[in-house]
Amino acid sequence: MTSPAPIISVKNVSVRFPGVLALDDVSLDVLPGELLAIVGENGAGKSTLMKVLAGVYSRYDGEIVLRGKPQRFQSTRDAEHAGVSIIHQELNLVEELSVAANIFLGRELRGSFGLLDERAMNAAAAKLLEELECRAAPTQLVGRLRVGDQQLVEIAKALSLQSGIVIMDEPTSALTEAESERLMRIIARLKARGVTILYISHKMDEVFRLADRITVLRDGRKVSTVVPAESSPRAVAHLMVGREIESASRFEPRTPGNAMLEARGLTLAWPGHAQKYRLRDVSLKVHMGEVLGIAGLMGAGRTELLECLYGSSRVPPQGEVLVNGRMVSFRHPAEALAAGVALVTEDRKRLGLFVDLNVGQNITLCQLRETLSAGLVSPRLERAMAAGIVERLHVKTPGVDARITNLSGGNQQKCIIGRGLLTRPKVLLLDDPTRGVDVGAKAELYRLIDGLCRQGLAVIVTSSELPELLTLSDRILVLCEGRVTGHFTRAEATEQRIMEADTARN
Amino acid sequence: MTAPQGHRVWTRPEFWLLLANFLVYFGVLIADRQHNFGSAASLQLLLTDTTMLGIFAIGITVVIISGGIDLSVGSVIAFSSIIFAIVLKQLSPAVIPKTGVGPGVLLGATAATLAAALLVGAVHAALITLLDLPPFIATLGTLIGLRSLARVIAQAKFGTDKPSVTAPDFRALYTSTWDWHLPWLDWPLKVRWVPLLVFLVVAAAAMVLLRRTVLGRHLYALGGNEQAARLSGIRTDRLKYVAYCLGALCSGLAGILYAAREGQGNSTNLGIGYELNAIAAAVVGGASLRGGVGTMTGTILGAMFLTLVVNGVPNIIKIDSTLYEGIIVGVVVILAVAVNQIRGKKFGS
Repeated sequence: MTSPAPIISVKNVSVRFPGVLALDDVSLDVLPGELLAIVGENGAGKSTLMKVLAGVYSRYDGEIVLRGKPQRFQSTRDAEHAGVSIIHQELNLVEELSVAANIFLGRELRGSFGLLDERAMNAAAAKLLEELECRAAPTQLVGRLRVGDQQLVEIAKALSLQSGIVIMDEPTSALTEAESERLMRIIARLKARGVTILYISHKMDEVFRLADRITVLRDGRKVSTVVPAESSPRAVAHLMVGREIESASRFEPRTPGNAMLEARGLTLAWPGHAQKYRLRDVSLKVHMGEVLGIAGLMGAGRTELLECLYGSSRVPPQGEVLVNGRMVSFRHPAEALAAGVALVTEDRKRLGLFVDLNVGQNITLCQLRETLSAGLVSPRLERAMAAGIVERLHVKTPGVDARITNLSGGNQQKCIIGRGLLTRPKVLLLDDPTRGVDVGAKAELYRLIDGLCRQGLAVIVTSSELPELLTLSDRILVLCEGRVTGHFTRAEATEQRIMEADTARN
Repeated sequence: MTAPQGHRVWTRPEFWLLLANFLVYFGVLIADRQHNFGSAASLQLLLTDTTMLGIFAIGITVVIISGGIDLSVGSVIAFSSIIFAIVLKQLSPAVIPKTGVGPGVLLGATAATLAAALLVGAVHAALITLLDLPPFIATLGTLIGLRSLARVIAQAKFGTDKPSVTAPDFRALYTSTWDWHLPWLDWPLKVRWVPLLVFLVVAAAAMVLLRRTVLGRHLYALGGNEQAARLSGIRTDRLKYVAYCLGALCSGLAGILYAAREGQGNSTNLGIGYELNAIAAAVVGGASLRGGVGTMTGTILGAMFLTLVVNGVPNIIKIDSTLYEGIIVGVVVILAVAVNQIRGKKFGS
């Protein structure tokens, strides 16, 4: 089979983050004018690879050859100059500026006296938008547009750059059915114009509909590249998951007790958004001494679900929540903690850590009242309380007075879990507890969670990594676009089945 | 356990600030050939200015640690002086120049003034929590509005912007002194003991609050990471009421003492720009305007440093010193904070 010279050649690219090898010696070729789909589980390295190609990451080993010339982009601007545009999963627009201003941001058209030529920009923007079937006016503020239209503004920007190569990172993850359909048509049109497209997704139907070739990544490595006609969604899903999970890596069966937490018909509205609901009619139950895993892709509603159970969602949810058989409706996390529900948040740096407080102070924060002696915080009791957690959870720290920022991710996480445990919860909610934690520390956290569970705690854990959920959980609930699309017991659950429920549409 | 960081004395910002204070003091002492800076009168001024600035700088430090800012300090001081004058006249209408108004009336007027200050603090917190206004804007509004309100009230009640309060026992709050014999001085140091006492009580209370109470720890947590604080079950909105009320309370106390100094309520030019001095003292003392960082000791040393520099300038530049004062103070504040930052990075913050 003879093929034209590749427009992009990725040669032996590796990207290392502290403690993780995000890309491991990946090589692949992209042919001019083709649509190459890149698929893989969360954390497989898809987004990292795209960010290398678009100049977001400039620190990598290996080589990128663009149109026959070796390139090393230092910034997205470099990449744009070379005709490579990326449309990120989280859109990169200035919401307070108009559509036209966003399209020409950084390359504004100027008229006489060097002043902005609004009219020319608006006219050019209108033309681009029309091509993209977008009904937004060039003068409209981007923040007022629906997500689907915002995405089209990004695409218009790429087109205005005359980009020959467009990278799309899970573009349909936040779109409605109709918007997705429109995007498919636009992608087909771009292809007809000879634009090369790198399309990242984990939705099999889209990939099989659009792609000329499919490259599968797993654990930072390229597994294989297949042609859709010679493969099937099932085969590709299998390639994505790859490894068989040996039952030995699971914990000994646990014996659940009474129901500790129950949710009935939880619904969380999403005003002004095409999807309308962040959560739709979610019911679940978790028992003493049981781990309930929540699977789901980004934006499926995992975090929102835990926020509803913890009383920290901005908008109160509809539906019923029962803790230990009693109906509750938490309006503040303080009420949840008092009722015995503790949450360890997903984004440790943003939502969990207090970088100005030391290790001990981070641990004791919620339960400082118990160290009072004559109305004042007793430094001695506080240190003893913190030291107790450090010992119980095996936190590796020079001492309770050490800076929390000097600890590794895993040990920081243990401190935050410890903070929650000090409140003596009956239900522990863990939102992606091993994110940014290295492999060794992960195993330790798993043992910790198993141990806590055996002491009678009811645990709900979410994760973006399926093997993790399979290791930890007694039961797994799968969320997709805010709805429960699967419920598996430990015996039934396989990565394959969860992945299928993950990507189920409707 | 190994020795934790930050416990060696020279790694602490307070140590360096203390050193800077000594440096400035002895530097001015040596540079000033007439040795006025070492006199009892000069020391008295240093001590009083530091305590007065210290009182409201402590208040603003609490607000800054909680992640907020209070720009209204100067206007709250002026507003409080007027409220005090009004309540005093209300409680004791007859002018009794000899005997004074009596402790009951003084206490009553003080209580009413502090209540008004608390109300201002509560309004700040309400604007910030209920209307989601940035603290900068909420307190900028009262910075502008309260002074005008004070004038309106003073005009309506007394027909003047500066109602005089001449009761001797009230003036004594500022003027009464206590002789302190220091071995190296020929004259006794006349300590204005009421402001000093108020300062010491406020400082001690604030120190205990920040170091040894749950509330204090929660203030640090709120300023350090508001979202994480809320998710840790801290009632962040309530805490903001506490922070802004404490801040306004300190300004109210300072307002009463300034009124005693001037012998009048003053709605026009009392306290103008004081919020900036207070912020400078806190920041020189190591507080971070991003919140979550700051200490009482630091702020007190910062207030002392600022006073030393301001009072030291005329001793070095004899002619037209007020002309250069602003430049020097500005440069020194920036220098002090910059040194603090660089030092902080070096010791790993």
